[in-house]
Amino acid sequence: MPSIPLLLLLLLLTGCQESVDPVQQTFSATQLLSNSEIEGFSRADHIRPFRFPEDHAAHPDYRNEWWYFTGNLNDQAGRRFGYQVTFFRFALKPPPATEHPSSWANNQVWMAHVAITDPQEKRHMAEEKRVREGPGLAGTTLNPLKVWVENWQLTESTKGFPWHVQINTQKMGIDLELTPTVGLVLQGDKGLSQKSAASGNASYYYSYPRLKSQGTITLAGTTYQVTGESWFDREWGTSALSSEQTGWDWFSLQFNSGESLMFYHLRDQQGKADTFSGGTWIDSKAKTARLSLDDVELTPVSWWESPAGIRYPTEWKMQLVPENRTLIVRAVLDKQEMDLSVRYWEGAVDVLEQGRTIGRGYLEMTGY
Amino acid sequence: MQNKPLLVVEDLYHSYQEGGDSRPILNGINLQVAEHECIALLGRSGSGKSTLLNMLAGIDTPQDGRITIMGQNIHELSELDRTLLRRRHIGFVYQFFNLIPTLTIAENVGLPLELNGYNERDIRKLVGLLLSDVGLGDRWNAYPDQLSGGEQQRIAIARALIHNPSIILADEPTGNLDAETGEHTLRILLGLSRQLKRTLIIVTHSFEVAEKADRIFTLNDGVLNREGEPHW
Amino acid sequence: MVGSRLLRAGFRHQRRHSWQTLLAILGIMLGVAIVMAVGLANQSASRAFEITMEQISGQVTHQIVAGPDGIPESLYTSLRLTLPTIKSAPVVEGLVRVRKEQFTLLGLDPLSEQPFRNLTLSPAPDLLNRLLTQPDGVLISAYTARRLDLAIDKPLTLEIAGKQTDTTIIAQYGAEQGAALDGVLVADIAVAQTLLQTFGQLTRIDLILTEQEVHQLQQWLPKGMRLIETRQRTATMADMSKAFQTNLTAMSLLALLVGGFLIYNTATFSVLQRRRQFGIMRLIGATRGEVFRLILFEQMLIGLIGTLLGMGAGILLARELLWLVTRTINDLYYTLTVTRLDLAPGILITGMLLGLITTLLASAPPAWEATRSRPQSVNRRSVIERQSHRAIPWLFVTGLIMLAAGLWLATHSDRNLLLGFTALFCFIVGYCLLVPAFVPLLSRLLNHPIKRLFGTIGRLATRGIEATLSRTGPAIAALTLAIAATIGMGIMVDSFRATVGQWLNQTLQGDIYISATDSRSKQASAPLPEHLPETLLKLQGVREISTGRHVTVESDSGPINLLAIGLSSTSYQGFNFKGETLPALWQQFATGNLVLVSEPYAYHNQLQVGDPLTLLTPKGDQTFKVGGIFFDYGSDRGLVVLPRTFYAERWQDSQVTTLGVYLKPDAALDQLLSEIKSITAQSEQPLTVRANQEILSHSLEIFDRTFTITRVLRLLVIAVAFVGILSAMLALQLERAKEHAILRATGLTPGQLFGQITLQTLLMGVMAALLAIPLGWLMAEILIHVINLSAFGWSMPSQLSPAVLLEAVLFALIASLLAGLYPSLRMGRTRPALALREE
Repeated sequence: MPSIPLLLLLLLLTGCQESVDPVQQTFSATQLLSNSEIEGFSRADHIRPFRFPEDHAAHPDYRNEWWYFTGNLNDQAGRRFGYQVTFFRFALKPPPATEHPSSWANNQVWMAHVAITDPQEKRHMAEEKRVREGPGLAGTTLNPLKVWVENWQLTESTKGFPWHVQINTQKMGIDLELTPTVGLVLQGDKGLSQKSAASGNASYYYSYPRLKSQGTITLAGTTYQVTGESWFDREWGTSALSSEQTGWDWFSLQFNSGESLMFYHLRDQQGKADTFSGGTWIDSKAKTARLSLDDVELTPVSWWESPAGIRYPTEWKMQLVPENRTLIVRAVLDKQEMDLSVRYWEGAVDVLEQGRTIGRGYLEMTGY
Repeated sequence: MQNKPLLVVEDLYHSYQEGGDSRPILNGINLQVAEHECIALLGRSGSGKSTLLNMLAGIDTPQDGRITIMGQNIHELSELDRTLLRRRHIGFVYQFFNLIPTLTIAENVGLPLELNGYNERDIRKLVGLLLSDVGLGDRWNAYPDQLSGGEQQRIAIARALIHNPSIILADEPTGNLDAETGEHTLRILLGLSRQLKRTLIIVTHSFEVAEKADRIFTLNDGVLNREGEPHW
Repeated sequence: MVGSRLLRAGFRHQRRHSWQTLLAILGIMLGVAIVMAVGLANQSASRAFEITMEQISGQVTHQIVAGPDGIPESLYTSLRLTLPTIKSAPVVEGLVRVRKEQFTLLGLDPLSEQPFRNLTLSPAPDLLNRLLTQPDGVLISAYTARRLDLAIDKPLTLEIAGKQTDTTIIAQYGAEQGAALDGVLVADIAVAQTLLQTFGQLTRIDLILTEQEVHQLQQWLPKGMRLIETRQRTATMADMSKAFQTNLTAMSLLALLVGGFLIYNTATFSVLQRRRQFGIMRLIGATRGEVFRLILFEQMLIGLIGTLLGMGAGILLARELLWLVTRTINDLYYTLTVTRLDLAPGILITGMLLGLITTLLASAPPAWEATRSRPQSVNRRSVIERQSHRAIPWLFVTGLIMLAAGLWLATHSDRNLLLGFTALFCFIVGYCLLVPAFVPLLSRLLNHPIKRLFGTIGRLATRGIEATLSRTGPAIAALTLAIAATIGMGIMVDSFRATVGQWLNQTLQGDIYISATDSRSKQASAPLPEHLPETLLKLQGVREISTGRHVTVESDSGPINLLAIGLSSTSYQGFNFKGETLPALWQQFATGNLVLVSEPYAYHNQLQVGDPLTLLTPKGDQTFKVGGIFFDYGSDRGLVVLPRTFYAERWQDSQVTTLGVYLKPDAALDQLLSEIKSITAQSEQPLTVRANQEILSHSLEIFDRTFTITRVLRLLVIAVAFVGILSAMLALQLERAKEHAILRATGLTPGQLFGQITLQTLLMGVMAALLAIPLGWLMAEILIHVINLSAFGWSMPSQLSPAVLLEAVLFALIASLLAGLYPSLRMGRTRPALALREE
């Protein structure tokens, strides 16, 4: 999922109104991608070795970074839930060379998004937090690993895994223990994921495509014991999109076979996917195969109009060209629009083949 | 008397405090005045004739007795009603003219009409008539202090008559004028009130003035006597 | 409606006596102008305060505050992490100067701000980014920027605690028009911390709380922190200057009262002059109501013209008064920048109504009186004088009753400022009612000496005053009030100044005092360099030093000015206690068990010696005992004094704000002064070194500055009074034109007549001055012992200054002399025959 943070960042900078004019979004995107804005930041312009657990923590000399959890869960009665927990970090400016005596002066701004989908009750709830790093209002630490935005946090246990995601708001709660069942996967070219032509318009990108998840979610005062599978994405970089790229459709699918698929379309102004679209096929042993634009054909099947009047394709036909398979990716609930500072669609999906459910996943769509 | 009485005075009594004693100035006055009649009240200075006149006008209150004007006991009326009665039915002529110095003579003459609610057109017409009647039609815009004494008194007469009052009270109307002017002024007053058929009561110390009246009364020691009748 | 002829008669009368009409208009105009000006200046100051508080506080319902050092940032973090649902925002606040003008620097975190304020909301897309990242970026209100001609992206030099720092204006906030927030700079919290050098500290945490959250937060709040209600805090602050502003309003009302008397005086004259006319009107048949309405209408028209002119003049005057009021508020109470005159419709309407109501009240009695008299009295002039003589006992009794009521109110006003002022006005009006009774007495007393001195002319002059009491009575009463007002205000200010001078002399026991020039914090004055005390003690000729630390701490009754002092052996003499103190006061004081409180503090908080007083220390609330109440005229908010060693330990603050240096008997002051100055010159921050006489004169300078507004008001009252005297005397003398003509006809030379008129006006001036002295003194007593006490909590002896009295008498004489000049010159030039002809 490439660039939601960029858009969110723009919103931060434009005063955080409830609804944001799309014209202003693109205008600001162009501005953000200009060279003056990125001067002084490190760039994702070469293949680098990844080191863990260090790379789980923040990389403040890159402009933006995120920790992205999505997952499909069931309670003991089999009731289906989807969830999303994301921590975003943005540097408004490169960090100062020497530490500033004011804790507010380190240019780091954090945002977090939380959402729960409850298809049975046709509910989708989303919330957001947005703070400066300041005197420890948000940030990351190593040993033990902790990523937090105020009281929303990811922590590790003494042995590393399981990771512990804890979210608590007035409307909902998420408390999950996550343990990978498929190992860490470097996306793109050994972890360097090129998003557009210019050098450095890329991010460092790795994932845990399968995390065994168990714990509770709380919705409107009721707590459910849940188990299921999550997907964890980590990405950081300084710039990514070109000004022609207007949005994307991003799929993370977990098949019952134990295999997983990450694939995204970067759309241009005509709505066509450009050549930097691509993805990764991951088998159950974390062995990966890179996919190019031509390997997967995506066609919208049916559309849903959000209350704000935006039309999203909530059902897709996905053709795996080399294998000659045709899959249907269908939202478990149309109404999974994230109506926050920035409006996008992110939600739980089912994967069907010949009418049979063969997996689940998450779909993210922006720029509609 | 051929006419019904317009003004009836019954047993009027009034006294002034002087040291510890009370000196009666009006001691049982009885008087009836008919419509269109002209009477004179003759008396020396301080005999109480001005007091009597003020009581007839309702601006002084007797200690005892009744004054009935047009059937109304005026001292039973409220101050406001008395003022309204005076405004409509009584005209005044004074020894000292009593014109308002800041009004032109036309405005002075027009004042009673305005108080009685006449419109400006009627006021102008009537003021014009009256001013010609008293021979001052050409002095319309003059102020009182630009007129001689006789002229001022003629203006006062015009003002007393203009609203067509039933009764005209005149207090020494010639007292402040030389003989010739006084004579002229008096002629105008009597002439106009007879011509307009008004009731006129003149208070004077001059017998020459008094003898022009229909009836003459003398006020002496608080008692009113008809001239020509025997003293008791 | 009153007939047009009656009205015409009235207008022509006014035109013929236009001088009288003009003076009446002038009187009401000045009265209204002063009330309006003070009202507008006060309102503008209050409004500016409100706007500032509104914009700074925004939606804030509560605040977390702590001691003079503020709150550690970690408390905010911990609040966000444990109670994230509570809406909270960190605030850093401090004082800076822009071109010598004091500004509040408000450091905010724009990301926490959204529910609180909209100061940082702007359409410019990159503004927030700049605000968060530019290390020297500040926002300025559009109004201030326009006023000071400051532009976006231009550098702005701030003076912070005496040091210059360059910043850049990155944007403006608010509208250039409309309600303007002035005197506040907004910056990102990081920038503010850097500018104010308060890293790791917050001034406060702003909150929006529900009832339940208040409780929740109270439970959570660590010791040494306090949760306060914003509305209450704002009200407390507004209250600080309220007494001062009420005082100003009352003084301005005094001006209106004098103006009202003036109207009464002119209205009375104007009616008396026309009694005959009104009698004639009544004879012709005009009703009482018609005559009453006629007079009232005419006087109200004069009042309306005067009021409208007064409103215009008041707005002009308010512009001048505004900065005086603001300066005093800044000197005495809180930082406030007011440069905009708020033409509040409420004040304009009030000013207008006050003018009209005063006119109505002042002209109704003469108008009513004119209708009471029977028409037949037209021909008898003596009736009027007889009536006014007959009224004297009634006036006298009413006056006595009002005086008694005033006295009762004064002794029972009990901290109520409004009652105090009511008492004052009762006294004034009551006394003025007595004046006509004193006039015959005084004129009889003066009769013989005057006759001996000036012969027949003198006798004519004195008899004339008594014989025409209906005219001279109100005139002298108006005069008396006017002079008394100037005496009363004069005595009050003089007593105050003398008391402050004496107090300063006693308080400043040290020979040389050192303090930092300017503080960057609202809660604490700027600290001195750490090693300065030791350095100074080593100097030849220095016997000992005393130290002081000025801070603001929280208490149950809101913030308190606290002075922590390290006493020298003679500093004790600097305290002059009111009444008894606790036994073994200084030994007890040294242990930190008891505090000393200043008189205003004790007064406002109704504290007695021995009462408990709770202060918030970093370890939580601590209760002290009040050991003594000392006289202090430094602040009407009050001061609480603690030993510095105790304060340093309890508040973990060993800084020193002021140093007092005590010299050995043989030491040379000048030499040490320059030595100390050369030492302090090496300090990074500018320090002020002053010999105690210098402080004394400097303090009195500040005192005079804060009382400038009172002096200005006094001058304005004098101006109204002057017009009053002039118009009363002029009216009186011109009214007598006929009498003067007769005198001339009888054989008085113009010179003799001139002498007679001048003598008479002078005599009236003298009478008024004589009568004004007791009233002025009474007013001063009430102002000092009732009003000042309840407004500020200061008690002080009243000091009758001969200069004030002399000034008042001189002023009365000059005014009456001038007033006599015109009529006598006019009479001298007129042929007696002409005057005799006048009706």
